Amino acid sequence: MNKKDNDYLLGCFAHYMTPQRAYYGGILITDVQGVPKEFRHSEAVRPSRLQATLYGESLEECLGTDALAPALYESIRLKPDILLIDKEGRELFGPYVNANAPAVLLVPLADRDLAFADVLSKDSDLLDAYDYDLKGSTTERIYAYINDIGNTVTQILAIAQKRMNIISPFGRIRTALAEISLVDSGRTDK
Amino acid sequence: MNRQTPSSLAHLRGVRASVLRMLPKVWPLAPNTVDVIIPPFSPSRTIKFTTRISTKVAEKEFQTFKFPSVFHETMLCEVTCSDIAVTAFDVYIQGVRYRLTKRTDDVINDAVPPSLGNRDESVLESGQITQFTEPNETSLSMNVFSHLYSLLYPPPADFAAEHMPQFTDLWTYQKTGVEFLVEHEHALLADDMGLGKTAECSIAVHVLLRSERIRRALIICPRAIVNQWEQEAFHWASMKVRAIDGTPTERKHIWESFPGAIIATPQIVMNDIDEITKSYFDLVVCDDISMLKNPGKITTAIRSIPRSRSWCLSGTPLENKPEDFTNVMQFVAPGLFTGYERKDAPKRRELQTRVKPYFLRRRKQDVLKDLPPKHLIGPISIHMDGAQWEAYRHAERQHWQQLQEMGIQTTKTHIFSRINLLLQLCNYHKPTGASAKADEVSDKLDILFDTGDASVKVIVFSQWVETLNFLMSQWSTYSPKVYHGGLSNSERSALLKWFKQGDGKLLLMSTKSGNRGLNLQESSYVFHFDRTWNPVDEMQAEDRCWRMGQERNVSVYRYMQRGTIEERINQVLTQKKGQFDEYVDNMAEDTDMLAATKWSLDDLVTLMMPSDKG
Repeated sequence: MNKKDNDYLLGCFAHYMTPQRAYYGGILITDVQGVPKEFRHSEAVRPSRLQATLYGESLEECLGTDALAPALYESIRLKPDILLIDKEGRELFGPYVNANAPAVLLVPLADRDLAFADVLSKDSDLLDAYDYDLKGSTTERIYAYINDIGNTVTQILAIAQKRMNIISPFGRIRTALAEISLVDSGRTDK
Repeated sequence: MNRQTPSSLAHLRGVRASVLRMLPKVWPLAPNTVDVIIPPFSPSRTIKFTTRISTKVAEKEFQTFKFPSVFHETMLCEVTCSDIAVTAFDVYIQGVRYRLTKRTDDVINDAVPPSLGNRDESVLESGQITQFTEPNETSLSMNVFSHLYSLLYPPPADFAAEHMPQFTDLWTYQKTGVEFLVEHEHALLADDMGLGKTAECSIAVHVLLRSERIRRALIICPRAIVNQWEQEAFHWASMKVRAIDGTPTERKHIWESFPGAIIATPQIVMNDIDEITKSYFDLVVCDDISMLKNPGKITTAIRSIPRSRSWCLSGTPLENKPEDFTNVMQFVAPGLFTGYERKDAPKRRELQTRVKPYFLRRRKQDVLKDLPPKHLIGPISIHMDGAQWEAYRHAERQHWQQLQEMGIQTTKTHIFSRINLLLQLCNYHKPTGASAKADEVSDKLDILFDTGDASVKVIVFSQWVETLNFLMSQWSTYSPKVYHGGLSNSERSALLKWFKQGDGKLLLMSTKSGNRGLNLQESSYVFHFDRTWNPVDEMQAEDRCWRMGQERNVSVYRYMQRGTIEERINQVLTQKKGQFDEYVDNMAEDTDMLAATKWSLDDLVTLMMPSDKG
């Protein structure tokens, strides 16, 4: 890679579901310091009762993988070097991200033994898994399940985890999406 | 990473963009998204959260969508424009029409007419600046996406902790102050003097620069504290700030292209304003509000600097009258108060309500509970006698007689000039060198310096450099030095270093030049050799010593000559100070009463009236 350390971009997928079960998806592109570079979010997606019935348990996966994630990814101008999701985004975005390496699933260390069968393997091979500090704090640790090509993810995560809290962008995206949903409800409640 | 989306849910995907602006290293992220300037809403016309806002597109090629919602008073709107030549369209907010136009300037002045004819493509393409205007209505600059934008950023405290080791040394209230500044485009940080506003601001500026939320910042501060600003910015934020100096050509180059943080004095800003207005600052910080409170050339120049963020730092946001405050806010949040309200401020509650979103104030007693107390001693009444007393009585009668002869032609200026002469005479009698006050203070200094404690350092404040020079000759035993406005920056730095770190133990300081911004915790004894017209000036001067980092009790001595004009002024100042405390600490508790304490002509005549010495 010819890029300098500071030039790497991370793409974080996250979603927010309103109490009325409307889904908002968002992708935040940051540099390795966590500074946002671009943000895109979707309109509210409200599956109908018929769709919910037809899709059943795979509704969220279809929503994320077939609708939200590709639309968000296509809309961004700054294409990230790696895609990241966290535990909460696993259902919606896991299959999409996993199919588009280099990608990584971040989970708290305490949750590392939970079953992530659907996103932990690639062609039946288990993904690489690494333990990372958050900002160098040995008390705050996360586990990263990595679907890598050419060691890219490990290299970028190693740089980023020294400069930012790599789990924090997900919370920020959800906060922003929640705010957007409030705005939308303000408009539609009229 | 292309993946087909054959699902029947695909029709649900409608991706929309939000803007992240001021990111110099990346492409314009949403060139079709605009920042909107919306007028301040009067209470009767406040936009409710659920208000629907309709649009009327003036050009057929001009499309709007997702239009618009509001975050309280902030409107979220997104516009797609296929025809760059479109310059305006109308928006109706509760039946009131606003015209959205491209702007030619970046500054919101009181009556800047929209330039509907401007066809500069770069403005719409990259400037993303437009404004709603309405005839005879001022505008408030707001970034409609700032709310989302800040949500997406790492919290300022996290970012600072990550990149600035000194951040962890700050007190909790200071970290709150940093977050307040970073998260507010328009902010007045009004912490008590000595709570570390400069440190907080330095870190906040650096957080914004480092996280690329801003590219250029201008800090305007009095010349006396330029060096201190440079040092504190480096100490707290490892940030190098560039002080503006040199020839006009050199300064022009800096104004045009220097990135990062730069420091200028109000005078330089006024002189170079033509150059400054050709450039753009993401942030302008005014440290000290005295440059903003009175409509004048400096105030006008500072207000006209093109900028998107405006911060003000002041421990005494209200110095004399509520209108000071509304004038300061015209810089912080242009349009918050109308032109009329800047001449006749609204009532306390109204003022408080409007200023609150932009205002943060913490007091020493609330946040620095371990700060040693400040003891106010006096005013100590001194009995003048001999040649000084005779000269004073003679001058007092003579001036009174002159004023009576002038009759109705007497103005405040006439009286002020005579009062100043009398006050100087209270300090010392020039022909004989007699000074009851100097003798009194001298006795006190002898006691202090004879204790053998080498750490004792004393500051004596006076309004007049002539008096300070006289005192320097009187107290030459202690090798004092005079700090006044005529010194160059390097001379000031050297003098302060001598006092703070060297063997200097007695500093004679001009009240006007030395009472703002400086850190002089090395001293714990302050003498006000004469009284100022404004109690805020005295408070500011004392708090150079009584501030964070002070480990000893601070003693403040005040003096007045019995039976003279000093005694009469003191009575008024005592009343004025009480009102000031109430007003500032309670955010303008009694606006009207304070306004009434302005010095009227009658007040001044009463002060001038000769008194009979008992």
